[in-house]
Amino acid sequence: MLPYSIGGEFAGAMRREGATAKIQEQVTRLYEEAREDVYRYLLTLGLHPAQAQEATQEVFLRYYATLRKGESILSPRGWIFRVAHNLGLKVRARQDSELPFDPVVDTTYAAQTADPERQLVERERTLRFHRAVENLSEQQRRCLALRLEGLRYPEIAAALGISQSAVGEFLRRAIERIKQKVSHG
Amino acid sequence: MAEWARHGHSERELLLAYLDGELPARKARQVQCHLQACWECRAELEDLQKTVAECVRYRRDVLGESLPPPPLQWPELTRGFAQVDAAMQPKSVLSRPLVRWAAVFATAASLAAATFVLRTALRSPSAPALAPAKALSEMSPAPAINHPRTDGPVPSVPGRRQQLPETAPQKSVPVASVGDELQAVAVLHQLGADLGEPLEITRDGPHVVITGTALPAARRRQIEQALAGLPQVMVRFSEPSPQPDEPRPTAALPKTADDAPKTSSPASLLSRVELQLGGHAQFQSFSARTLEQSDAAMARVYALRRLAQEFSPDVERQLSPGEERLLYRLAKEHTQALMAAEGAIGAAVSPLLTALGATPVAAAPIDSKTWQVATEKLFGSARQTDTLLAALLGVATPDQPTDAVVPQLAIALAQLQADVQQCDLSVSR
Repeated sequence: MLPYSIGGEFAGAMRREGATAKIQEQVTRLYEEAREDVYRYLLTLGLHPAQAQEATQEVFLRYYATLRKGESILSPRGWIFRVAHNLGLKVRARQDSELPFDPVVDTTYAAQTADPERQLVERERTLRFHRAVENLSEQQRRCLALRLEGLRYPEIAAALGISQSAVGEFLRRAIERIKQKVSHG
Repeated sequence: MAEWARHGHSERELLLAYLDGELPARKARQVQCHLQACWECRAELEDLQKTVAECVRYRRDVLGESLPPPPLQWPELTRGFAQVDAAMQPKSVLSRPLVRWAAVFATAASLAAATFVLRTALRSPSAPALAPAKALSEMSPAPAINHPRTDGPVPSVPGRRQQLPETAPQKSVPVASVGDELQAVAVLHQLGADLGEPLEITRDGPHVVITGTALPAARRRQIEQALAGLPQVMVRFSEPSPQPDEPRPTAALPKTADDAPKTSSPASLLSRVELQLGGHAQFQSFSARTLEQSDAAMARVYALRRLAQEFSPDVERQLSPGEERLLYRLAKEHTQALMAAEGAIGAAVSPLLTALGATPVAAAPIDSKTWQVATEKLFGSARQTDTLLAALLGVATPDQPTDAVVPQLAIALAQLQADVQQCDLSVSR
């Protein structure tokens, strides 16, 4: 009885080891693909670069822990951003006294072109675009940022704790607003 | 008159969702058919695509280039994996060596506790990885394993009744009821915190969990104090109050016509409205006041709708008579406030519409079997009114030909009035 039990347990443990290696591979792949995106999203939430990098790693380790517990995650990217969003807000909440990170976006960016006049026009347009984004409401900007990270409406809704229809409405208004500001200055 | 003109490009609002593949199949087909027939909406779709492309370019070229890179090189996650594994490893024949490996890692980790990788990895998965919010720690004496996550995914509205992922309440722990949730809703309602504030309510095991983001500290304290009498309620605030110079509230229409490009509404309609109101200054004041009223009314409508969605007829049947009375009282307060708001908007806007050539219309209430259905209808007419009002006052692009805005708004207002009355009737007991 005893040898059989040990053998069975050993085989089970080996299977678990194999499954673990597979999960690690899966998490590592996503980590390499998406860590910069998560990091950048956390910066836009107001986390300072070091905090954002730390939180990014934590997000992926949570992803790993969740998979290891046997939970299935249908949309890993959606899950990652949802957790990143909530973790980002938590990190900021712990630092009430500290000013949020405010990235100074380089609005001098211009298309790489030899034509100085075209560069000027592009630069002006980028500046208008940047102002339009800055003037969106908080929720509109968050919806837009998450949509730009490839999340679908239900995933954005889950991350922000709002309804899917609200996501659609925020995005619609955001795009409409940007379109108008960029077209009409 | 062409099909699109009669329907006023009602699909236009759906174009982005259509592009994003987020519409139900039937609706998507409807939009597709409309697009085949309507050049104007096709051009609008192209514009949308261009704006989306610009957003993508902005993210890649401007944000991507401007945001600071990570301060350190990205480390491998191997060590973190080992820590997670060590903490999770079941007792088995292989566990002993793994425990020893884990101990080695743990020792290494403690030596380098200041580094973020190990700090993360040292945490046991059963303990919250981040310090719980003050309110949470104060209100949840249960062992960590039974704590709802303080930082995990927040369920969306459609999934609001889902349990948070890994919380499995112990069998002996009572489960929060819909009645408990209703009590919490009632307290928030008393504070006016159900009118568009970023609060979510979920039931999680023995707790009713209220999650709030971006609330000022004073408001957070007020909410915590008000809910202190409900022991099963847990409050989580996950964002500090906005900085004073942080911009604007959550999405809403621009508050005045100056906030939006005038080109969004044909100048002829806008100038006719101004003329009727007695000049630009009067128009500004009228516009700001009316849009404010409409925003407030929409906040009510959303609150009522949320109540209707959360307490569907099936859920309602689980309530005790007292709780049911409370639910109807809450709904009634919303409908009464909506009647007042609708009255004020109608009184201000109807004479203007008549002066602009609209003929008075009356709408018949549509009989609804339940107050939840009546609320959904009310939501539709309120949204339509809000959109048309914004078009009339030049803060949104009209979805219909300019000439249609005035008569359609008159119809929408009449429908809204009928729907509010019907809804009010359906919550009267």
